[in-house]
Amino acid sequence: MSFLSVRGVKKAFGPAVAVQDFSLDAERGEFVSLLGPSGCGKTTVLRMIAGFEKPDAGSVVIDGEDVTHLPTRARRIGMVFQSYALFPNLTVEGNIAFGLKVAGVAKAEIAARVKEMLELIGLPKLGGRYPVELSGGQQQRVALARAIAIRPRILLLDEPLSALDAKIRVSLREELRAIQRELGITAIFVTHDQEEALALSHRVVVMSAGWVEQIGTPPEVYHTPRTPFVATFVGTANVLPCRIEDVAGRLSFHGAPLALDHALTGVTGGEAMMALRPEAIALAPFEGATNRLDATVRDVTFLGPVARVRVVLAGEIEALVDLHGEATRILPEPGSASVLYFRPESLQLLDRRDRAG
Amino acid sequence: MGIGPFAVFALLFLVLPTAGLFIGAFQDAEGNFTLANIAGLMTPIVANAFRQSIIVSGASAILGAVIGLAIAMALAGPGIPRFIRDGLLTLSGVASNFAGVPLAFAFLATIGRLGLVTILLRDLLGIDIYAAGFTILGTTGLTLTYLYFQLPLMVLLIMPAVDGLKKEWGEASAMLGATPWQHAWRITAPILFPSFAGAALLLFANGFGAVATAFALTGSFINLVTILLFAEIRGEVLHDPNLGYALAFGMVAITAVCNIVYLRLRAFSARRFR
Ligand SMILES: Nc1ncnc2c1ncn2[C@@H]1O[C@H](COP(=O)(O)OP(=O)(O)OP(=O)(O)O)[C@@H](O)[C@H]1O
Ligand SMILES: [Mg+2]
Repeated sequence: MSFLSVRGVKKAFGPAVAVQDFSLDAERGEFVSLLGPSGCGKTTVLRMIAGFEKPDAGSVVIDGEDVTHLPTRARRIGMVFQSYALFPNLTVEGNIAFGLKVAGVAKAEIAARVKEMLELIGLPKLGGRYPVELSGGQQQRVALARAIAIRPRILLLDEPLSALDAKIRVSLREELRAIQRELGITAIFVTHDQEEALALSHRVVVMSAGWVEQIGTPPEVYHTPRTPFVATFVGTANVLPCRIEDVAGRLSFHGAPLALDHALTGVTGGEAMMALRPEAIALAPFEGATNRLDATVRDVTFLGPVARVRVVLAGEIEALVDLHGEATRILPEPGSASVLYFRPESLQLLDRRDRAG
Repeated sequence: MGIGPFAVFALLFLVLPTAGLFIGAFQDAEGNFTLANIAGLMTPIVANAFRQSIIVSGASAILGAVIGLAIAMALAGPGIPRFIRDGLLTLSGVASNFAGVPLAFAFLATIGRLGLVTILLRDLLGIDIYAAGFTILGTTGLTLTYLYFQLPLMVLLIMPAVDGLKKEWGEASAMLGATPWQHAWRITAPILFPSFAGAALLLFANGFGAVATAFALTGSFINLVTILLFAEIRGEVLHDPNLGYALAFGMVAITAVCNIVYLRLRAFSARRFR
């Protein structure tokens, strides 16, 4: 059994359902991100794991112990809040020591642990300062130290970096990940920043409107999105209508034949949606690019390493093509006819899940 | 230049009168320098007046501060509808300014010897509070009356600090394994303390200066500084206006100290608990 097991958890606030049906299994030491747009229920999931909210249904099991009905203070979890939430009346040391103090840990041991934590977060000299005397990045490090000082079983992070400016955000996220790896602690990290989620996680849980859309490794959710939402929320994708012609993986787009790189199981044919990344398309033939579509160039934006070409397919459907490197030397003329070339493995058939059921 | 009118106002109604007081406190009736007035503050009747004032102001400040804090915390809690909170705060704004003769009359009409509540308690429940030693003209009665404006003033003064308590602090405590009591004692209490102490001092100063209520309620039945001051200046007892200045000077000094400490505590809170 996995270290953290969240099963069929649901939460409504009055008539509004914040989390519809959430399940996740995480291994010891795993770093899992919850990724989704604002209001999709990420924080609510985290708060249910922490015990700040009671799920309407489902269960939370940590290391074999069912904690669903346990109060937060008995769960041994560490949480880092978006707003840091440091205790303003205590110094940095006081904040880090707080959890050990209320647990009745001996003074000498507290002092040793506080010192160790201050070293770990790289602020060995700032133990005597008050939170108002720290920068946002420093406050967030202290919040992390405070959370891990109690040796929690799980570390919960609710957009811990989003209040910081872009440069610190990137360096602090690397640091955070290094500390997590060093301690081997299971971490659940909430973010609405896809780059953050892809860069840090073992696995990403993509959420939308209270539902789990897909759970997978960063390359999995990027390259094989299962739903139109995942395809467009993680990176940029052209989501196009298509017809399934047969179980061998042959499709058609407005009459033009296309092929997937795999056979289909349990699909009888009919209308479907497919995703195609702009950077997987070229305007010239290349090795293995057996799929082709006729297009008309609408406009071109040159951005240096990338040129973004807007094209029109089948006279009405807009799509994006990203040209890279040498391909940006000679750009297509707006209004000219062109052909899109791409490989079968670049084409991803999407689920049309019916959620009402 | 925007503060020009304010500066003129402060000069005319605050600085000049205070300076006049200060000078008057060190002069005799002929205008010669003397320390006799200050020494006069030590005479039994005056010292007693200061003691009475401190008791009434102190009691009403402490009670008002404790109960006011409890009310403010209840108002800030979850599940209090917006309109109840807003309504009570508006009411507090009005009630904290409700002092003087109308307040005194209201209290006399309620729990005076022939007040409505006094009579109802006696006739319906058989409890005769006056027979039990209560009198609105005594220390307890005056304290009770002062509470009427002290308590709402406390609610207004402490509300911002209570609102400033973040929900996440409680959650962080719980996450770190603290019980709600440990959180209250180690986090909430230290954060609120400067605001609480400052507000209580302000209530004390406020009570100290509340002359009209005391005067209207008791006449000169109870010996408060403010009443003695009236008497001195109007010449009812000893006719020594300069002793009156010294009395006022003593009052201003106590009030000023309270205000300065209040401001310092408030600045501390604003700096650390921002
Ligand atoms: N205490 C609450 N009372 C009522 N509704 C709530 C409460 N908490 C959350 N919600 C609602 O539940 C939904 C999910 O909220 P949640 O905070 O989990 O979203 P989120 O994914 O964390 O969003 P964000 O990225 O903006 O933080 C939202 O529609 C929100 O308005
Ligand atoms: Mg959130």
